[in-house]
Amino acid sequence: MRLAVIAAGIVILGLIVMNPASRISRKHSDRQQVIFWHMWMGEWKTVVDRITDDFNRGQSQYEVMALSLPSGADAKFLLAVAGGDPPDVMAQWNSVIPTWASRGVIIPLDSLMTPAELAEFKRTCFPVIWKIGTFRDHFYGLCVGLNIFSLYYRPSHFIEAGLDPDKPPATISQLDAMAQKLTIIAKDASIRRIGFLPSVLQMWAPSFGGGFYDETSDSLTIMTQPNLRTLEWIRGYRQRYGVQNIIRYESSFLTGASGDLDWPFITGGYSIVLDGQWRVAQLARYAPKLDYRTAPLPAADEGEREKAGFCSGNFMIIPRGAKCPKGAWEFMKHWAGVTDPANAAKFYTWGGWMPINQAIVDSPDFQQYLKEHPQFRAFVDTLPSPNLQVAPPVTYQNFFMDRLTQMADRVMRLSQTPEQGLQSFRREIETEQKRTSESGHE
Amino acid sequence: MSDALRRPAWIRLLSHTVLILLAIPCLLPLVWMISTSLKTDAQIFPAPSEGFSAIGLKDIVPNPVQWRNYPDALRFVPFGTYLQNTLMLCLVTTVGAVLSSAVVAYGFARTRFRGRKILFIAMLSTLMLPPQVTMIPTFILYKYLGWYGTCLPLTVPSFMGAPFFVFLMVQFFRTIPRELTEAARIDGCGDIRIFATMIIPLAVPVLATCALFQFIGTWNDFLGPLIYLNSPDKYTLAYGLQQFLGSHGSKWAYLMAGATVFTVPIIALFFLAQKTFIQGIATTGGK
Amino acid sequence: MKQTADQINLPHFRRMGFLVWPIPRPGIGWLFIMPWLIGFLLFTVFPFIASLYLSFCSYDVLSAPRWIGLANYRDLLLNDPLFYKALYNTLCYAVFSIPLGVAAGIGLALLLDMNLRGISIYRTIFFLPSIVPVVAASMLWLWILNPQIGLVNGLLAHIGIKGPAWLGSASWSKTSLIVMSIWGVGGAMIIYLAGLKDIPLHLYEAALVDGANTWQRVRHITLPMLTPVIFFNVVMSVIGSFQYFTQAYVMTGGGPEDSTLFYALCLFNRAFSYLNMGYASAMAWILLVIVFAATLLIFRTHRRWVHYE
Repeated sequence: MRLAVIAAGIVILGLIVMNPASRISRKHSDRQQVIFWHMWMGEWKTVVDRITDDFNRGQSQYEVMALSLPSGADAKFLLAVAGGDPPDVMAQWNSVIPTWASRGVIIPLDSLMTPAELAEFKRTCFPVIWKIGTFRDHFYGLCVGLNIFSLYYRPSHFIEAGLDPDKPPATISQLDAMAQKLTIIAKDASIRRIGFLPSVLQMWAPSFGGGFYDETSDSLTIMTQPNLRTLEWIRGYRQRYGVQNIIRYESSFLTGASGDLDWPFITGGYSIVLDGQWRVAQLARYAPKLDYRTAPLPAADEGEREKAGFCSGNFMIIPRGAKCPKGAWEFMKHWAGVTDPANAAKFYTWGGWMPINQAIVDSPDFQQYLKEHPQFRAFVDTLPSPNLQVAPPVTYQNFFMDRLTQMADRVMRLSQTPEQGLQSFRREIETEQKRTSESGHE
Repeated sequence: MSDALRRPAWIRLLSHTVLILLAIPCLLPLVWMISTSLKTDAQIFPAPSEGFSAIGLKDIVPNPVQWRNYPDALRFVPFGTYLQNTLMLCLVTTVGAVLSSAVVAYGFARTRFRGRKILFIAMLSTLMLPPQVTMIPTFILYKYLGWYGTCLPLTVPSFMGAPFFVFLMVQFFRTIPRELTEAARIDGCGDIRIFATMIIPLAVPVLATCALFQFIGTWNDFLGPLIYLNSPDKYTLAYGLQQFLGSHGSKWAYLMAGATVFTVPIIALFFLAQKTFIQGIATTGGK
Repeated sequence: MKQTADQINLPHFRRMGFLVWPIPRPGIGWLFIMPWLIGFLLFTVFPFIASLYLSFCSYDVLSAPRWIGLANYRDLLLNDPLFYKALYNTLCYAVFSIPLGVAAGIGLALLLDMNLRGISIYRTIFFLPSIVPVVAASMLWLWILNPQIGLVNGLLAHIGIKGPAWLGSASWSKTSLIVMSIWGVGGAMIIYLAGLKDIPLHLYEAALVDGANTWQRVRHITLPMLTPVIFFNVVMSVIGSFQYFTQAYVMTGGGPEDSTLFYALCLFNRAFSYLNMGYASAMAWILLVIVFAATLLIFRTHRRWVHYE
């Protein structure tokens, strides 16, 4: 035993002395350094490193140094800002834009553009890219990782249930009817397969004409008829199949055995689901033989508010106090494809990300990607839609979205009626709004 | 206890049965971790249209065994660098925390001075404020001291006595009979000698326990290095492990291979070192 | 014995102090606690005072704090139902997990203190939950507590009981987390084991001579001699359970229906997700007062049940 301990000690000391590490150092010390912090990890980090290399290769002035920060590390950014030493450019979720912009800790990107450049950018990018990156008429975040949601469905289930797999639901009522036909319930009332089950309130509210923010009056819209109708529709499914049955059924897929790959759509637990574009790349890799198709969100009625939904995404922002904002901006433009869409198209295909403008979509690289992954088209088709909504630009956006989710959960568990839910949610938001404005952070 | 109190066979059999039953849930995550780390993506991923399936033995033993996940996963991060950084931090903080806590604990347990009780309560209350709210002032303090970007914020505080260890050691030091040390005192021993030659040898088990806790704590800490260090080649294994926890379709097998490599040294350390801290001090002739 | 030693020796030492002991005796204590005191004054006092100051401010980390007096405390106590919900959840968790954890820790330590073949392997296994990464542990629990295909409900089904939805149910989620906390009792178990090994053998031998049975030995020797360690673990679990965070953050995120929104989780959201650092600081100081009161109460009862020699 003692020998083993001594041996272990020697090995450890040997490792320390040997120093097997290859040190990471700057390749171009003559150039200006651009510090870039992002939250992509593992294989995604490799993609980011390739993009960074691509930028550095074509540069003579700047060198981007990328640092990957694991989840939960927003704290590092906050501390760096509080301590006065932020990076030059950082990737973040969009919820930070209103909060950080209102505090003046991030630079409006339009201040780095000439008026002509700004006009051109605004004209070419998809409307949702502008909307999601804007706070009080200034453009703060360039979205390189927009998340778009569409319907995924299984043609084999359609055929089994006597439906035409070439005709995905075009309206909500068609979706309801299909869901009914595709669902299989056993004799003991337990669920064997769910045709379709709506659950995320903010995803569906736009299709019903609802939503939580009105741009024209710049105000929150919570207790509205369309929102109420959406909640009632979502609750209706729970009442039909039984809340407990649904909880049990859904949990049977979450074994934890495959981490975030636990997606019941693959095992055939659902015939139609709503999910984001990243599943296309994931399925191509982990379940290449799976036969599935995609379709944009159905309209409320024939031709009315089609391709609606709710977007979030990953952004590039430049903190105030950045030492090299110009270099940061060059890097962002290179990545997003503002300057060279044809070159940037390959980045989007590496990550399976949503392009920011039509030029990227039309480029050969991206067209090739669409040919290889035809299911991606439904998402690209949704991109230009004016019906896409984003989270309300309030400075307490995280609080807003967290409480919205909890409220929808209560309604879905039938602990509250849709009216009670929306009312209590409105009260919570009003209190928070009052608190924020009293403390001077509107 | 001792051989003098050896129990009859049926009690030992019963004890084994109870222990084995209780051990199963404790052992499972490790088994699962290792099993998943040896699978291919296709094996981890549920097959299409399988429907309900309880998890059985066939899911635990991978077929075929995918050994190459280990070298592949380790190539993914600069493993050597991280291991070296981690061990350095672990060694420094463990030595620092155990030594300083022992000294402080002796002061609280075996000496008398005005304000001792109040200071002890003050020390305990530093544990009662959630670290989330002291994090930013602490960071600003270290930045002001010019320690940001260096290892100092991660190592120096450990030499200042950790309240958790101090409290634990105080509880043990107080059980050492006073007659023992008072006798030495009459012989002309000062506190420093009593501490070094009598208390420390008697307290080896509790010192070893604290060393173990500190070692594991530093081994697992990824937020500390992440916040205070800015260069990727200074980060630790815990940071490397976080790298596998990416969103959307990260390599689950690599994560588990990484987690296994991350955990096994600690298990080995515990197994080898337990003799030290679970060994009775009765054998050292203390009492 | 202790008293007489003090009475006789102290004045004696005092009188001839400079001969025997160059440093006056009251000073030696300060010398010993000096490392902590320096660390306390250098690294702990400032963040403490700063957070107390911030609790009277509106502070969002990103811009300078603004003094708003008692507004944070007023909003918390009068206007924030989530605060009370979180406090209630945390109290529930503390009231059940602390006694259960102490009992399980002692019980396990007593089992692992036996002279059995392979006992060191058992000890290692029971310590495993404290070392496996949280991802692996949460995977396991998601499976064990799965309402449909989980181990627990599978066993319950065998005896004809339809198990609850555990983590998925607002009325069972806290129970699930308490059960999980007992699973992770290995750390405390090690401390109890160290305490058990500290009990002088001659006490047991004397008891054996008196003909005491196993239970009597445990009741009259082991437990009383273990009280300093039990005291330590109780105090630390009170402090720890009020800051209970990780499992809830990783596995439930506060849901369903806010049933696992614990105090520290609520505070964390406020501090780092909603950037209400001033508000979070006020929450932290309210927590400090509660935990401090509870700890003081335990210290008050301390003389009655903790035996040191």
